Order: sequence, then C-alpha cells, then structure tokens
Amino acid sequence: MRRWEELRPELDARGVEIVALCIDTPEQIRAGRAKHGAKATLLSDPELVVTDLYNLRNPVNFAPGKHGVPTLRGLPIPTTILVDAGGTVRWIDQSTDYQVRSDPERVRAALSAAD
Amino acid sequence: MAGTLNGSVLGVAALAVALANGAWFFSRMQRVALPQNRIAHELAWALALALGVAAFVSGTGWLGGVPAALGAFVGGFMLLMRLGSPQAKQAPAVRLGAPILDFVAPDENGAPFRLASLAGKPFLLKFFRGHW
Repeated sequence: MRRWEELRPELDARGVEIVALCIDTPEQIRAGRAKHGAKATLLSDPELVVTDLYNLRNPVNFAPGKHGVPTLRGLPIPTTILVDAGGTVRWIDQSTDYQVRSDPERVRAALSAAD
Repeated sequence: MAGTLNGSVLGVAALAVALANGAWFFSRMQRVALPQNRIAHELAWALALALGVAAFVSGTGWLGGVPAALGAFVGGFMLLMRLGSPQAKQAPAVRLGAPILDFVAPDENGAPFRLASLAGKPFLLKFFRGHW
C-alpha cells in the first residue's frame, strides 16, 4: 500500500480513485489505516464474497492464520483492475506469484495507455 | 571431540547463511524489488537447511545445535513458503472492454459501500491477498 501512495499525485491529476479489498474486518482496517495512512477506500471482504464474484479466489495458500500460525486457506489472487469513467474495464493486472508485487510503474503505464 | 567442533562450525554457518539471506530477501521484498527469478535465494535457503542438518549428523553440542536448528528451520520454512507463492491461474469474471461488476462491501466503519457509487469516475479496484 505504501508503494501505491507514490502514485497519488498522478492518480489525483487524472481523478482516479483507489478502491481496495482485503480480508480484514472493518476494525482491523481502521487499525491498519492508522498505521499506514493510506487514503484509498478500504473495503472488508473476510468471507471472500466479492473475491468469489470476481472469480479471484486462490483456494490453497500457506499463509499466517489465527495467532500467526501458518495454515492452508483460501485467499484472493492479488489483482488490480483499472475501470474508466464509463464503468468499463480497461486493464487487468494479476499476480502470478504473491512474493513479487505489481510494480506501480506498470500501473503508471496502464494509466497513460488508457488516456 | 573433532566431530563436535565441526558440528558447531556447521551449525553457526547454517545460521549465518540463513540470516544473511533473510536480510537480503526481506530488504528486496520491502522495496518491492524481489525478482521473479529468485534462484540465489532458494539455493541459500537450501544451503542453510543442509548445513543445519549436517551439523546434527556430524554431532554437535548446544553451542552448535541451537544455531543449526534455527538455520535449518528458517531455510526449510522459507523454501516451503516459496513453494506456495505461485498463484492459481484462472480467468477473472471480468474482461477487458466489458463492464465492471457491481458489489456492496462494508467499509472500515462497517457502512455498506456500493461500487456503482463511483459511476462517472475512473478508479483502480485492487484485491489484496492479505492484511494491511
């Protein structure tokens, strides 16, 4: 999320909002925002309802669960979707490997291409 | 006696490799600069695991045993995490040039947020894999 805030001036100039979904509860999101100071609209999807609507559930992940103990669980595939003012999908960026994050540079390129 | 000494050296080496590789790996991850090809990191995790196991095989006291166990655990754990890092390949339910799917989800205050409320504005919709 920190890296995303680097794009803030360009996003503001183009009037692009950020809507982000994560698996935290609203309480956890509030705590996280206090820590990271991100300005995006942050939404809660702990049961992966929206993730399933978009068919983005990766069924098997080895990830920290309760009390930080690694467990097998379903999680969203990290994905970024650029939507234009008319509500049309202009760009989809999907991670093939969660340790490698989508670079803000690629978002920048997509924003320019969508102009 | 010689075996115990060798075991201690191997154990300390296992931990040193694990720590050095960990510092490098996480500093790259922090900078979002971790490359797709991480064979150097993977080999180093395997080396830490192998050195740790070798320390116990050749015999070691607690002086070598503690770092050997730590090094082997970190190396093995990170290799396991690496095995699980590739994401499933599946087509999203939205396509380029098609309309976005509307939904309602609670915001940080628990209030329902409808995506369609952004109509007329461009936006980036992001799905995060984990927590903030």
